[in-house]
Amino acid sequence: MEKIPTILIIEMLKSGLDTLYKYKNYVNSLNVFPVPDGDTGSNMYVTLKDALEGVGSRENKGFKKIINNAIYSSRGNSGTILSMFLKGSLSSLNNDKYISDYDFVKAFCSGCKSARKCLDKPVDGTIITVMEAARERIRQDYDRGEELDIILKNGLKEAQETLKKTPDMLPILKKANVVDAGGQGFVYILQGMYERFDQVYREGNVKKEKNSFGSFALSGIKANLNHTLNNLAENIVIKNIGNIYSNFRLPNITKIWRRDIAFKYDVEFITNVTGKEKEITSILRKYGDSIIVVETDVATKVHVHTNEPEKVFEEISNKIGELRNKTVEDMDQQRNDVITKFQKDYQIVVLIKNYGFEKIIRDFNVDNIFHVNNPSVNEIVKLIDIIDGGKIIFLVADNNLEIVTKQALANAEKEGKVMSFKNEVYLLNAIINYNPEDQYEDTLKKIHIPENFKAVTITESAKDCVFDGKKLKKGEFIAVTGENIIASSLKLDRCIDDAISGIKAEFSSLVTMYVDERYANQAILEKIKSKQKQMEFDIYNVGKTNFIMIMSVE
Amino acid sequence: MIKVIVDDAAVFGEELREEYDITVLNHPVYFGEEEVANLDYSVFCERMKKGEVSRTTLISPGVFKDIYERNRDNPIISVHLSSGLSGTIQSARIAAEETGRQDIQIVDSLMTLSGEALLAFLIAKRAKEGASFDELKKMATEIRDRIKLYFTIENLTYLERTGRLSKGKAMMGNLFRIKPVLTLDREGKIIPFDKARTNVQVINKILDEGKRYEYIFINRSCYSDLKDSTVTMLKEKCEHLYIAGMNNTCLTYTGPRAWTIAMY
Repeated sequence: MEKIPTILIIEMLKSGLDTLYKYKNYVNSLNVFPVPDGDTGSNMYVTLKDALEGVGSRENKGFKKIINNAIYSSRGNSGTILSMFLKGSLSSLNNDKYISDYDFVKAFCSGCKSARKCLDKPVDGTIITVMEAARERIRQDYDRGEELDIILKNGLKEAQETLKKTPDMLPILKKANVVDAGGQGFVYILQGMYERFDQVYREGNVKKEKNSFGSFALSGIKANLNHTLNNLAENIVIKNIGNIYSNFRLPNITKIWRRDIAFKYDVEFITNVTGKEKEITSILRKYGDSIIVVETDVATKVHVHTNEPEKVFEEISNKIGELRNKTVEDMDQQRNDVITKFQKDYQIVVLIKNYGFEKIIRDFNVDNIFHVNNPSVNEIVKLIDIIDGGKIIFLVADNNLEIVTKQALANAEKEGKVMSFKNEVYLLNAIINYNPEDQYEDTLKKIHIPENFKAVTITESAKDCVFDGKKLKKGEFIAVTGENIIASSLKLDRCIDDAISGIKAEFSSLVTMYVDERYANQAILEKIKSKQKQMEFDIYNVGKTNFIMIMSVE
Repeated sequence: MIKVIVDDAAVFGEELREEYDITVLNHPVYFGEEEVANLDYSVFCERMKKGEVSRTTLISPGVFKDIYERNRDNPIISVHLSSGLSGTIQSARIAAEETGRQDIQIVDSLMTLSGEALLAFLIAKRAKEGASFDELKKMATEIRDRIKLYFTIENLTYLERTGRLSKGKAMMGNLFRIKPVLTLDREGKIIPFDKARTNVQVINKILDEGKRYEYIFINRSCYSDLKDSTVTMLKEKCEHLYIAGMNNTCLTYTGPRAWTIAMY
């Protein structure tokens, strides 16, 4: 039996983090398609980094800390799986000065198990496939009596080999000609871990003892895992962060709107001054909430809810610079007083990525809208804490946030349901029939995407590539629905026109476009209207987004 | 010969009205203080679109009394706008009482628009086919209960302004374009039925799947987006399809982009 210093595990994880950091952008680039979401590497990096936060490399009792951190630090889909892996594997280890090779292998297995458990519908060809392939190899090599150095080396190799096969398992990867981003991230972590281990191993710091545990028995793990999970529950202390209205500060979640309590005016403006994000935000905090400051290269766009729009304009223009495109909207006029009277046993909480959809979604009398940017489980748990009033129905405009949100709901021990959608357009079409007078169960039934409803995303190809069997040039416009390109052209109007013609049915009469602000007032829209004369057009400017437009044809 | 009288909340195609000799009484309509009941419909639409606000008043008992007396030799079935929406039917009752006649039957349609029109038409048709006054009195409620009326409008502004919407404000927002689909309840009051985004979706929601109707009556307002191709779709669902426009009275409540459908 071999023994390694327990602190080596922490050092290995830190080394894994360093390696992931090096390749973070590469991992991001792997999921450029169909919409360049491109955040897997960053999400996994932040997850691991925050998990290791405050854990000293000389600290022997760091596992508990990491386990605790990990649950809260997880971000994005792969990040969540990674954090569950950490939680599962480290929970199975004790804090003795040394751990055996048996402990190590067992921990790896527990990690995989815990990762799989958090997945609602595990998909082949993703990070979980890579993890489990490595586990199988590690277990076999251990059973064969290999030394830990070999076990780890082969495990890493197996992970790399399996990663290469992911495009054969998951068609979307093949179409985009990439390997799975999450799987790649995990491989980099393993690689870093192995490098550190190898270094220590060569220095002779791994002790060897004679007696062995023999064959690897899985049965013991189950009991152990349950035990540690129980211990774990006691460690999760959720702090109430206080009053939402006065002090809502979560880095990746911005409150945009809350039905029952809100400022009277929805204010937006643009200033040509850039680089003053913090100053602007601190001024706005004096006057209201739901603050969103979006900076581009040439201008800053600002959104705030307040009772004193004139004072906001005055102070910003005095201290920051000239303002343009000022809009003030009276939210009271929009709100139906009738609705606040409904006694409901649940709250509808909408999480959106593109904040420009807020106003449209507000129309449907949901209770809360938050703008999110890959929030961690912990942040959502805090969010749940401050939403009072019974059950929660989360409507999430990003399938990647489903797991994080579900995990948060479970951690917060709150009754509720998470419904996730591809994007905001699917979400808002799913809530058309929502009626705030209905109770929880009826509402769950009423919220669904209408039959045959399809939304098409128009975007620009980020690089020369092959997708769905088509060669695409950088800058070529593409229309994507599901995983298929239904139109592509170097001319935007041609691409959109073809997409409309491609999806309209015999009785289609309405094209609804949710357009990024860059394209909102362009002649291109007029051109398309004149080409599709028999259709009616409903066009919404949804602000700054990561697409050109999303449209539906009904 | 039995005479059928209605008010102009019901709109027929001119041919049908003449064929069954149905008399239509007009509600007084105003833009401000200006009486515009006889204003050309297209001009009325134009002015409404520009933002002028119209209103109507009840048809007075006097008008009813005159028409009842002019038809003193015929038994009368007088079919009117839902008592849940208007007091016009009250004027008709008063007038009938004034005449002292026993052969005037006032029928509360509990509907309006194409629903009221379809009811009046079916009564007139049965009369022409030879049904007696007493038979018609009985038939009227049976027919009424079998007619389904739905309508869709661009927004709730006109109904709200005229106080005709009791429930359902919560169903509508201001920004996202939704077609509210409304119907009338058993008391003849307007209630929300559903929401949709296109007319085809509206039709799919209100027609019972696979069911074939005897009659479908449609009213379409001046700037309605109900296309002929969509109407064609309805032809396959029924034996007889009648489509008519609207008038100044109806438009006051529905606004310029609306359509209604009644099925029997």
